[in-house]
Amino acid sequence: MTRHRINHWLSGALLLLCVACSMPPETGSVQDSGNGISDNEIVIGSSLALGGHAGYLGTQMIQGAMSYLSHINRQGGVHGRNIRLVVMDDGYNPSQCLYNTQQLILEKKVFALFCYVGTPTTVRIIPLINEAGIPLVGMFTGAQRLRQPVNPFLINIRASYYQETQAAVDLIVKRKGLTRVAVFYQYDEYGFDGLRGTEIALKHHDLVPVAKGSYIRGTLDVEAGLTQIVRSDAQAVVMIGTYDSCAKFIRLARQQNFTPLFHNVSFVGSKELARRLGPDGEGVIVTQVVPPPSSDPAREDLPGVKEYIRLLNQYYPDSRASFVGLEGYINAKILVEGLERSGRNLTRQSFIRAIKSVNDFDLGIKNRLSFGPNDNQGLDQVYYTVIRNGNLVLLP
Amino acid sequence: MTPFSHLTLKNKIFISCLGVTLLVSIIIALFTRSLLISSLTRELKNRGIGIAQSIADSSRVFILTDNRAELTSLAYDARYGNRKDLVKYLIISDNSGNMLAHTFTTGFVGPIKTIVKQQPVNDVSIKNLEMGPHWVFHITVPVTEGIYTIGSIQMGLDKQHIDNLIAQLRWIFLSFLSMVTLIFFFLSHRLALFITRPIASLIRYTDLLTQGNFDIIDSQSFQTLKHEIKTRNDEISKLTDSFIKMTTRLRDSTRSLKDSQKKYRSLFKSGPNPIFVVEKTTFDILDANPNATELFGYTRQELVRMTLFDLGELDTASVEGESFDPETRVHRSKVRFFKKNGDPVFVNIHTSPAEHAKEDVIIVGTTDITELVEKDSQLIQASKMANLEKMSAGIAHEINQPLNAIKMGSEYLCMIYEKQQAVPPENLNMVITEISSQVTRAAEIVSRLKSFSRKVDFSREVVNVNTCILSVHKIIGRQITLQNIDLSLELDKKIASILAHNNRLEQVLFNLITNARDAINERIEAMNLTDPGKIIIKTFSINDHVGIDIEDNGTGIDPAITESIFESFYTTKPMGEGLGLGLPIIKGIVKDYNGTITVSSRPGRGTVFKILFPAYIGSHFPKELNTP
Repeated sequence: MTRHRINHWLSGALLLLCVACSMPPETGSVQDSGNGISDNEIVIGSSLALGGHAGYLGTQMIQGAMSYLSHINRQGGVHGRNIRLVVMDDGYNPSQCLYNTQQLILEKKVFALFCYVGTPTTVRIIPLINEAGIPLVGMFTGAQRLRQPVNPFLINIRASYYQETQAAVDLIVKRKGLTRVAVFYQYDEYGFDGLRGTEIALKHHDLVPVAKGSYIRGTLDVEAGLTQIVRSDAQAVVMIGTYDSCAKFIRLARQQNFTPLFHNVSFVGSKELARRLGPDGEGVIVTQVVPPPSSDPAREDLPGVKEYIRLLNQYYPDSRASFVGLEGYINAKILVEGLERSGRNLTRQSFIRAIKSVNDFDLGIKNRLSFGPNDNQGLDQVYYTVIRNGNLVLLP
Repeated sequence: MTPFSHLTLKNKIFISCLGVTLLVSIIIALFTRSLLISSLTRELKNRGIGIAQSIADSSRVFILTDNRAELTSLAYDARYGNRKDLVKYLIISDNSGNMLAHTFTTGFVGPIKTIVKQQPVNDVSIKNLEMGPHWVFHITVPVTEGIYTIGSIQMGLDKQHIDNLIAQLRWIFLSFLSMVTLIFFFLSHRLALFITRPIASLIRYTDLLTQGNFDIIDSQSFQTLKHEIKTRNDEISKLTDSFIKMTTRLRDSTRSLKDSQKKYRSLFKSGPNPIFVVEKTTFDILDANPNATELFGYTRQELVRMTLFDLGELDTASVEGESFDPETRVHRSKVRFFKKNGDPVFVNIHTSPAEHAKEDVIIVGTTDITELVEKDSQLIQASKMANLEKMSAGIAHEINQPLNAIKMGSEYLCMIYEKQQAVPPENLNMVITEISSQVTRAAEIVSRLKSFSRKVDFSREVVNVNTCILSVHKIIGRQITLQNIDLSLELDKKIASILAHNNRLEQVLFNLITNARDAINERIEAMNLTDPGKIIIKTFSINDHVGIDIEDNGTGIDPAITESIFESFYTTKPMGEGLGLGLPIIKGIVKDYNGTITVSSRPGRGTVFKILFPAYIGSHFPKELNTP
C-alpha cells in the first residue's frame, strides 16, 4: 500500500513534468507486426454495407477495389504477398460495423482496415482504431470528424463533405444566382456534417438555410422534411442523404410541382439515384469526388478510369462502372502503393509512414494525389455532374 | 524551559499560527486520505455498478435476440463513453459463460476468459483482479429476464484511474493546503508584527525610561506612537495608552520625588542637628551631614570610614530603638560622644529605620545637649548642696564626736604633761590609738563629704549598688540611728553591676533616705506615736535588672498625688523647707542611666520607692569606661 502511494506521488510529480510529452496509453499496447501479415499474405479487413438501403454503395465500392486487388494478386501480389480482403457486411449499421471491426481486428487479425462506407459507421469505430493502432485506408465518406483533428491512422483519399457542400453552394449561389437554399439531411453524423458544411459555405455569402428537413437513417420518412422545405419556397435544396431517401424526396417534390435545384453530394450514390429517379432525375446535380466513368472504356479519355473499367469488366463482368466503384478502385491503388513503399518488412507504422510519403501521385485521373504530414486527405477535387436522360454527365 | 519559551513574542505568535495551520492541514490531509479516498473508491465502484446495470437493462433484448453487433455497440458505448477512463473493459456474456460481446479490441488480457466462463452469476459482485500490469475491480452484474438470469455484464474498473483521481485529489489538496499555509504564513507574520511592533516600541521606551530618560515623553516619536495608537481600538492600544499614562505619571512622580529628595537633602544638609546614615547591621556610617562634621570635628570622609560605635558610648539596642521613649521621641538620651580632639559631647539620639540606596539603614539624628547636661549637673549640685546644708548639723555632730574624743584624749595627755606625771604606757597607747582612730574616722567622713559634694560630669561607670548604699549609710547612718530610726540594709551580695555614676547614685539614695526619715518624723510628730521608725533598703535582681527598694513606715503619700510627686517644683513641705526639686532630679538621674523609679504607698503605713536599672553585662565601649 505504501509503495503504491509513493508511486502515486511520484507519478503525480512526473505527470507535472511530462504533461507535454504524455501519450495516449493505447499507443503503447499496440503490437507492431505479426497482425495480418504472413509470408505470402496480407490480410486486409473491410466492413461495409453489402445489403440494405446502402447496399449498392458497398457493393460498388468493394467491386471497384477488388478489381484492382485481384489484378495485383494475379501479378504476384506485393513483395511476394497476396492481398486477401476480408469483407463483412454491416448494412450501414454503426453497431454492426463496430462489431465487425472488432471481429476483424481481434479474430481475423487483419493488418489494416479498408474501404469503409458511411459516416456514422466509420465514426463509430474511431476508438477501436485508436486503441488497436490500426490504419484505415479509404473511407467512402467526407466526414470532417475523420479529417480534423488529424489522426495518423485515418487515411482519407476523397474530398470532404465540406468541400462538396462548398462547391454545391458556390454553384447554387454564384453560377445559378439562387439565394433561397434549403438543406435536406440524414439525421446522423453524415447529415450533420453536410449540414454544417453547407451552413459554413452559405455563411461566406451571408446566407442561412431557409429551411432544414431531415429523415432518420434507414427509413424513407422524408415527408415531414419535404413539407417544411416546400413551405419555405426554397430555390435550391442541398441534399445530404442516401439514394433511396433522396430519390423519394425528389420524386415527391416533383409530384407536388416543387421543382427547385436539387443538389446531392457524392455519397448519395449517383448512378443508383439516377436509375431510381428515371425521368424525375432530369437536372438533379450531384457533386462527385472522382471523375465520371463511362461504361465503355473505349470512350474514356482518362487512363485511370479506363483501366478501372477494363479491370471491372474483367473481374465483375456483370457490374457496371460507377463513381463509387471508381473510388473503391482508387482506394485499392493507394493501399497497394502504400504496401509497395513499405517494403517487405511491413509494419503498421512503416505502412502509415509510407502512405504519408505518397506525393503528387498520378492515378491517371488528371488530378494528382498528395498526402503530407498534416494532410490525411489525398484528393481535393470536386466534380459537378448532372443527370441527363438517366446518365450522369459533367456539368459544362 | 522549552526552546519555545526562549522565542520572542513575535515568533511565538508566528510559530503558533503556523503550527495550528499545519496541524489543521495535516488533519485535513488525514481526513482526506481516510474518508474521502475510501468514499471516492466506493462511489466509483457504485458508478461502475450503475453503468453495468444500465448496460444490463439495455442489453436484455439483444441477449435474447443474440444481437452481438448491438451488444458490442453497447459495450463500446460504455467503454468509450463518459466513463472511458474508469471502464477498462466490458463483457456481456450469456448465462452459460459464453462471451456475447466485449471491448477487447487487441486481445484478451489476463485470465478474463476463464473468469467469465467460471462465473455463474446471480448477484452483483466486485472482485479484485490482476489484468496484465493493471489491477481492476471486476464488477459482475446479472442480466435477468423475469426471475431467471440470462446473462451477465462484467466490467473492469481501472484501479489506476481511481488511484490517479486520488492522486489528483491529493495534489489539489496539497496545493490548496500549501496555499492556505502560505497565506497563513503571511497572515501570521503580519499578525505577529501587528501585535508585537507596538510592544517592541513600548519595550524600547521602557528601556529609555529605565535609564531615567524621561525626555522621550516629549519626543516626536513618542507623540507619533501616541497618535498611532488612537487609530486602533484593541488591547494593544489600551496597553499602550496605559503605558503612556503610566509614563507620564511616573515622570511626574519622579519629578516630585526629585524635588522631595532635594528638599530632604537640603534639610539633611542644613538641619541644625548632626545626622548620620548608618548601615543597619554593622552600624557603619554611610553618610553624615555637614553639622555632624562640624560638631565632631571629623571630615565626612573620615566619618564614612567609621562606625557609629567609634563615636560614642553606644550599644546596639539603643540605636535599634528598643528603648524608644514615645514622649520625647528620643531613643537614647545623654549619650556621650567624643569629638576628634577627645572632648566629650552629650547628645540625644533619635533613630528611625529607613532605606537608602537599597540598603536597610538607620537614620541617626543627634541633638547636642552638652550645655543641658552641664545645667543638669549644676542643678543636681545645687540640690546636693541644699541637702548637705540640711544635714550640716548632723554632719557637724558626726565630725564633732571624733573631735571631742580627740580633744578628750589630747586634754588628758596635756593634763598628765602639766602634772609632770608619767603616762602609764597602756593609757598612752590607748589614747594615741583612739586619737588616731578618731582622726581616721573624721577624715573618712570629710572625705566622703568631699566626694559627695564634688560636682561631677555626666558619665557612666560600672557601679555596684551595694557599695553606694554602704557609702551613703556611712554618711548618714548614724544620724538616722540617732533620731531613733532603725535603718536596716538587706543587700543581695550577688547583685550585678550597673552602668551609672557612684556620686549621683549616692545622691539619689541620700535624697530618698532623708525623705524617708522626714516622712517617719512627720508621722511620729503628727500621730505622736511611739513605735520606732524603720527604713529598709533592699537590693535584688530581677529579669536582668538590678532593683533597689527603699521602704519606710512614714506618713505615706496620698494616692492622688503619687503622679505629681515627680513633677518639678511640687512639694508637700512647708514653704522654705524644700525647693520641690528633689524627686524630679532623682527621676532625671535614674532615667539618665536607663532606670525607672516607681512609688507605691499606703498613707499612714509607709512608702516604698522602687528603682530598677538594667544590669550591666558587657560593653561595646570599654575604653570610655576608664576615661573619666
